[in-house]
Amino acid sequence: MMRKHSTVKGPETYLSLAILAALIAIAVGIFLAQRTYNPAVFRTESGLSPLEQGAASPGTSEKMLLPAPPGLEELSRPEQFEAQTLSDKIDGKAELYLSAGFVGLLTQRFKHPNRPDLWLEIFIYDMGAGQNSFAVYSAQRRDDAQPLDLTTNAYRTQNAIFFVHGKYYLEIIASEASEKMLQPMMQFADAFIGSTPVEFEAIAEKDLFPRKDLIESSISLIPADAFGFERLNQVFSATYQLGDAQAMAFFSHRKTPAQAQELAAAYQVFLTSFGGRNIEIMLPIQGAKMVEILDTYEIIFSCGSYFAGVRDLEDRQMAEDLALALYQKLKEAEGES
Amino acid sequence: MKIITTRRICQVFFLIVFLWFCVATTLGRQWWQLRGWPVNWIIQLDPLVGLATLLSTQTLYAGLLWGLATVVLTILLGRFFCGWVCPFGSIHQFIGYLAKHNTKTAHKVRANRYRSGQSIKYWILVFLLSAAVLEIAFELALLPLTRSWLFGISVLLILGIMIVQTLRHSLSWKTALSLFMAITGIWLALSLVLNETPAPSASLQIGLLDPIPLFHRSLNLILLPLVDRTALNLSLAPRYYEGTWLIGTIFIAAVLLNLAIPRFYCRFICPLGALFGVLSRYALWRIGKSREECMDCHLCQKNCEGACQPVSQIRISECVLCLNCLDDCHHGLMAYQTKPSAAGEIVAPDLTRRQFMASAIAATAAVSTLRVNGNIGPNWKSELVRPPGSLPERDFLARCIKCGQCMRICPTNVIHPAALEAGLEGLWTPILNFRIGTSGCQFNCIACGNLCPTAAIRPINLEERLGKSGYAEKGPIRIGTAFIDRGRCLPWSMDRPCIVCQENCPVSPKAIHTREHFNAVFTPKPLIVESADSTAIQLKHQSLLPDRFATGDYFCIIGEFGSGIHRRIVGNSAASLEISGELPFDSPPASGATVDIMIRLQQPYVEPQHCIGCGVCEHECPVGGKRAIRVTAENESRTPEHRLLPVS
Amino acid sequence: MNRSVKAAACAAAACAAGYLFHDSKGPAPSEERLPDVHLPDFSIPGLNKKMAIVRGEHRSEMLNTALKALGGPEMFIKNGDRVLLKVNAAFATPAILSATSHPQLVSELTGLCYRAGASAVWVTDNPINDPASCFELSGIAQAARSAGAKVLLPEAGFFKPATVPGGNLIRSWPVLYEPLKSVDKVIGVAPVKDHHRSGASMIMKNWYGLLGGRRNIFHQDIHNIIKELAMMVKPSLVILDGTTAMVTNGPTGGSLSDLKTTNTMIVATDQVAADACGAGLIGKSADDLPYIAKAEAMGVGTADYQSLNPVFVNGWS
Repeated sequence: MMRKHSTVKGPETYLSLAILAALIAIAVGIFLAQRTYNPAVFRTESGLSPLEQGAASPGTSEKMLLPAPPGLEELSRPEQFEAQTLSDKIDGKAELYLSAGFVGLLTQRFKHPNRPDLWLEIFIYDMGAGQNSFAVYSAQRRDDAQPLDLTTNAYRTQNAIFFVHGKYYLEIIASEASEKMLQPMMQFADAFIGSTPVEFEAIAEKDLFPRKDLIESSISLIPADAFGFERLNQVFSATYQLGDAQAMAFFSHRKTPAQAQELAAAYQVFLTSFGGRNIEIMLPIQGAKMVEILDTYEIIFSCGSYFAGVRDLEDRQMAEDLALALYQKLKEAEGES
Repeated sequence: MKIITTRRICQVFFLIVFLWFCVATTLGRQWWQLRGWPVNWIIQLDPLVGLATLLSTQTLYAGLLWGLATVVLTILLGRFFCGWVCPFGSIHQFIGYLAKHNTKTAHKVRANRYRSGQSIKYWILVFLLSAAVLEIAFELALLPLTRSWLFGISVLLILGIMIVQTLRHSLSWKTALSLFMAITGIWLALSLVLNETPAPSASLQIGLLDPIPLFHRSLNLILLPLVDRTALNLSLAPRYYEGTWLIGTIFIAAVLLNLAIPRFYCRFICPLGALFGVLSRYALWRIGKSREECMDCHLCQKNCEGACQPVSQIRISECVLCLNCLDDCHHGLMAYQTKPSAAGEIVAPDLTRRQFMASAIAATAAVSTLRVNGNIGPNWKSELVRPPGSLPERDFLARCIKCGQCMRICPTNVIHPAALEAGLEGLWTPILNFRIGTSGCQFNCIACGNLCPTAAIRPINLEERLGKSGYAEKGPIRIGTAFIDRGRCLPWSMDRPCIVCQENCPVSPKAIHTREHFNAVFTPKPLIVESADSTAIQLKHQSLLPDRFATGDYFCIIGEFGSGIHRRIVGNSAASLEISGELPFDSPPASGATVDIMIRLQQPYVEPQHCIGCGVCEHECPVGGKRAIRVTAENESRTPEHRLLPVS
Repeated sequence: MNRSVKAAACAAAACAAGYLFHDSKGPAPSEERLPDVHLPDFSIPGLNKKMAIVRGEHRSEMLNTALKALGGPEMFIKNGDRVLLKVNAAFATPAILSATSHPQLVSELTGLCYRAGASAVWVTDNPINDPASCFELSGIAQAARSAGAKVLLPEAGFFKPATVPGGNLIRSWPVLYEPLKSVDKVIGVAPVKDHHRSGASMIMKNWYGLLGGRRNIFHQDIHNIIKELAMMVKPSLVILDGTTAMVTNGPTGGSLSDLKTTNTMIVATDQVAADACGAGLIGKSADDLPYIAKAEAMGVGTADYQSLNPVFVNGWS
């Protein structure tokens, strides 16, 4: 009936083997092909399109804006912006917010029912953390700021009020410098603060600045690129009035003491590369360095996990005094932690 | 090693590869998901897909070039694809084997005899290819007017052929002359008559019966969804597809018919097999008797898969190279050889010229008749929402092979086989149904176009889909527009607050915005004030349901509608209302005043210039049966004529 | 043998067909990409070194004085000219905050153009966010209407891809071409502002408002994009309004305390010189603004504005 194996001819076997080899080659080819992903497999990184991300943050929903400032009516719909679209609204200034941890912006305009040229716009920036909202608040503080009683960080100028509430930074800007608008603006601010729960984040770092000669309102948080050096981020700085001159003290909390030390050294190198001159000093601050640059003195040191220093001083003795005062305060803080 | 064993291994191999490709058609990076698996490879190997799309679009799209390899091998070797590769054929062969293997030899031999019905598949092939060649045929008919020089050359050629035939005495010169005049005359007449007619586009219908798309479709839409619900769980959520009863019936029928006649589909219906039959005419090697001394025992026909009558004049166009006859013949007569069979062979398919013309004309007539329906023109159906990246309908119907790959890969299960929404031509082409599935058409997904083997859905990139960078001017791809059914929408017609559609709209700025509207709440008795202070009102009668108005959506006004200020109600008992402290009464309402309760509704409106038709709103709408917001194909990007707005 | 020949012929024919018709890319999207457009040169021949610097209090008067010092508006506007005023309407902020071109200046300039014989005056800008509000709330729309100019709000169809020869950033990028192609003269009108990213926003930065698409990616290379914008647009005249300069917190400002009264109006045909001069009003020099040097290097103008022999007028009434 069936042919015995021995009668299977040679050519038949060779052909079979050739075909089997072809099948194996096909299998290998398929396996190699699967390593190059089909474009369909790629989606935007987070799995959400950037636009979905904007829509998916319920914290900045309309609910927060419900109370129109009393006596005013809506002039335009509320608008939402997220990182990608922020510059559509504030153009070049977006960079300031983006580098400080911007999450989302909600804006809306309201107008006076009887006077169409009297209107205001409310900007609510969600900066993600109290530190960040303080950073953008302090970076834009105007010179003629009058402090307000709204929160610990609030001021007004002729036509606007600016304040920080937890992770939110708010600007309410009126079309005219009119007292008429001030009342609804303040009422809205009060309502916002009252109805928006925030985690209590005391910016304790502010108290680390030595109090003598400190210009209180000058305390600010530079989120990035402090003093032109891109490695200096999250730097608290404050201005001091020393007689006729002004000076600046600064510090930044790093992750480890080693990193603080390394950053101090790197900043010193940065300064000398721009023409700074190293100067020997004897200070009871371990590892302190002094650099003279552009006719001013800077002292840089690290204290525990803090990177710190003073700058912009023309008088060497004053520089040393201020640095020492700062060092004492930081040492106390480090000692407690 | 016996060649038959190799053949079996080969069939199993390709069947497993095919099944694996179907399983791997799931979006993702896991080893069992899409990654880079070439899941369309077997479709690409299918030369009927390549040939038909070549005729209907005058291009051979990308991977379909693989079909060339199959064609060349078939020309050289014969119908190896049917016997060694085709997974559908393997199924038929297996079922046929199960049906017949315990029967008597004589029974088997009878089952495998050649039947004249086997020529039906050639009619089917001609029919389908004629439908695909419609556009080319039309252009050819217009040749005298569009390219007269080419027409002139053709006329001379025909004249030449006629002269040659006359000289060879195959035709009398009278017949030749009349033929020549007839052909030329009809051609000219046709071109004049059809001059005004808009060119019809081809209709690609091979997907209905071509075994590879058919098998993909049946697996993708029926078998795999069944597997999804088992522990194998290939898909995140159970998959449903509409209209699968017809697809299932055809598939099961095809498989079960093998119980009657083995390889029923292959012998009688398969147009791909018919194509191979035509191509194998000049095969270098073919099955045949090596010598003349045949005992006529008919054992070679016992397991003959192709029913090619190896007992007498073997029909080369039917032989599927199963090679069973090589062993079944006890006298070692059967061989795969270069010389023709000693008992003679028939190379041409069993198709007469008359049958050919009849099929071709039938196809032309059928497509033309269907087109009177107007589905591509003014009678377009707005339910026909096609996947993003789809070509305009004319070109779409010339490319879609109804393989169902897009329906399987769609991660949210919104792509479904159409019933008659696209006309009869569009049967089983992809259409979106947003009620089924896990979400709408995902905003950042480009899967379907990157998988379509014939580019009926174009492969788009994410920038084009979202309307970013270079495509910012054009904007995102729109597949339709959402329309709110105000008679069903809760805030519009039922005084119930709801803005689920607006919340879920994924685009920025949102394509759904709401307008605040206050409606009076009906209370059986008017509400009269008994007494009131700055934040509470006591009513004269007990008529309210406690806490019914405390949801935050209810407001009360005193006095006439439209003149009072709306004050939010934060609580109520049967006879009192408590007002929110945001806006207390400056002067509480006097006793005897009427209080009206208003419900605050946010009524949705769609912005057509922002809506991309993704259907998330329809999917999320809480009115679960017929949704209160539904997406239809108006304003779809692929068809400028369906624009809703004056400027796109 | 006959058969092998026929088989080979068939195979060859199939291969030929496959090769000829092979299409690896698939069908293209239905609309074709338009060829790049080129912006016309609107500068007035022979007048490329004119500059006037006027000090005073009132914008209208300063503008008139400046133009008179340069020979009068007729030097720049001919009878029948269609004029486009490219203003800064980037934000929907009130005019007093000086983040946008001042409405008074827009209406006065429009009036001057008409009196010099212009047949039509258009005002345009492309603020990405809500253009209609920006034009209305900044007061520019009202000013334009009252003076008879037409505000051209950007529409999708107005943008065409343009490439700046010698540029790396503006390549086939959508530009607000429609208004530009149908006018004879283009005048840039911008306030003097500090800018958080580029240092200053004056005349050259003002052309940013002609870009479409997702133009904010160019902020990453801000000085080069300003340089390429200056290369792309060759205006007939530029008017840099330094009456009130925004000295801090630009470009949006937001508080009156961000502004300083600097009482200067600069009118010139050299946009680089205008910016170099305007820098002083916000306490900066041309060296503080890298884009000025870049533009000068590309031959757009000169940063040494003194070399143009500008006409100084002290126009206090």
